[in-house]
Amino acid sequence: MSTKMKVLVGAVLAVILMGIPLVGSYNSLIESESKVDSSWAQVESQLQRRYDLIPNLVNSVQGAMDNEQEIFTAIADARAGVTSAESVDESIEANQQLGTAVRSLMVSVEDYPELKSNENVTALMDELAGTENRIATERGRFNEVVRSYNTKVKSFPTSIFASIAGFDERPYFEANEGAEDAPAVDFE
Amino acid sequence: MKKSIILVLGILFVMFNPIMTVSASTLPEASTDFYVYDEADIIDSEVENFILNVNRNYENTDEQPQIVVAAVESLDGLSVEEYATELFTKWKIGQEDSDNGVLLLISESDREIRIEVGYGLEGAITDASAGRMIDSQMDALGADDYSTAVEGIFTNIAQSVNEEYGYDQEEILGFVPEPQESSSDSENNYWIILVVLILFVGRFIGGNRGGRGRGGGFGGGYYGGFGGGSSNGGSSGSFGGGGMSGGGGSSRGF
Repeated sequence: MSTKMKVLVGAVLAVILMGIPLVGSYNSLIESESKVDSSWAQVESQLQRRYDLIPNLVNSVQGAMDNEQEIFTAIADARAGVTSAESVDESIEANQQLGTAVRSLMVSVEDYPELKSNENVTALMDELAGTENRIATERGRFNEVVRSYNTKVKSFPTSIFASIAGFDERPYFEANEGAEDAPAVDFE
Repeated sequence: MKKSIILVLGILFVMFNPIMTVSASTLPEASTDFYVYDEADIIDSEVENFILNVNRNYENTDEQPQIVVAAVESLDGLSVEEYATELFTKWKIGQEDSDNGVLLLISESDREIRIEVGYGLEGAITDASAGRMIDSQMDALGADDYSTAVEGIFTNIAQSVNEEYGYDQEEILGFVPEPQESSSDSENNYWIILVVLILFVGRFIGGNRGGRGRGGGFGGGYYGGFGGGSSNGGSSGSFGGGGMSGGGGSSRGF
């Protein structure tokens, strides 16, 4: 084999050998990123569920709770905020506010004995509490998956490759302070 | 390079969701028989056998749902929701492809009870119906009659599962149960049920289920409760089928 050929073969081999781990990194990042996306889809689906359930609870309790208008206004405003949110960040923020408003409603319902003994109200409160819990669970799983992805994106040597290939760090979905636990439905 | 490591660690420290700081190793392993875990020793052996028999009947079905009952002494500072979801995941209740598991968890010292429903049974056992199941046994729970309460709630759960899969109630339970109390007839209730079903179905149509991210902290590999060498007249212990829950279900304090 002429020198030229040797150099050519050597160069091709070198490219192939360098390429293999890069392909591995790329695939691993793709897989990790798609886990993040599907986990986010789970979170969004629970947020949507809460959004849809809220008007039912509001309708059931509003009559009995007519001196608590601030709560219902807060909920209406927060829901509007969710509808009008355009970016993922805005949507997260709006949902945090909605969560706070919903939780304060659920706590207030406990002060009304006639509502607590109403089966419809109990059913709706259970559904809402269950939804809050699902949001918290999916959010926790989402953050775990994001952590795993971000670690990959940031660790050397994948980090060099990642920024070239367009894999950015993803933001976490933080909980509000004091909002980590779902509200307990306690009708003692 | 150093800066970004510090930044990443800082982010991790700040963002680390409290729910996820529970390490699965602080929760108990499942019992050899898997379906009943009575650390608090508050369930009669008669009820325990009932639970085991129903679940063994389920083992012979195609769908193989699993209804596990766990009575712990304390929740170790966790909320009952967190504890239940973590335990459910650790013990992998229900089958992997259908997530058809249910966990009934009682904490004796915290006086809290929760029904945690796997993804796949959320339509059969809604949060509202889980709440009703517990409410129907509130008197027994208040009087510390755990065996009656567990038997009653477990039966209700099994009835719902049987209805879901079209199993014969008597074949699974060994007796014909009273039909479950459905909530009182009123327009509102049909509306609730409709909304919940639409939401539930909508979730599946959305196609989320296939791509559910199961990475990260819930790494598979442990089958709590696998007998591994125990001999109970030739039958090895049962174990979880790989199912998961999404936080659905209901809790009560008593």
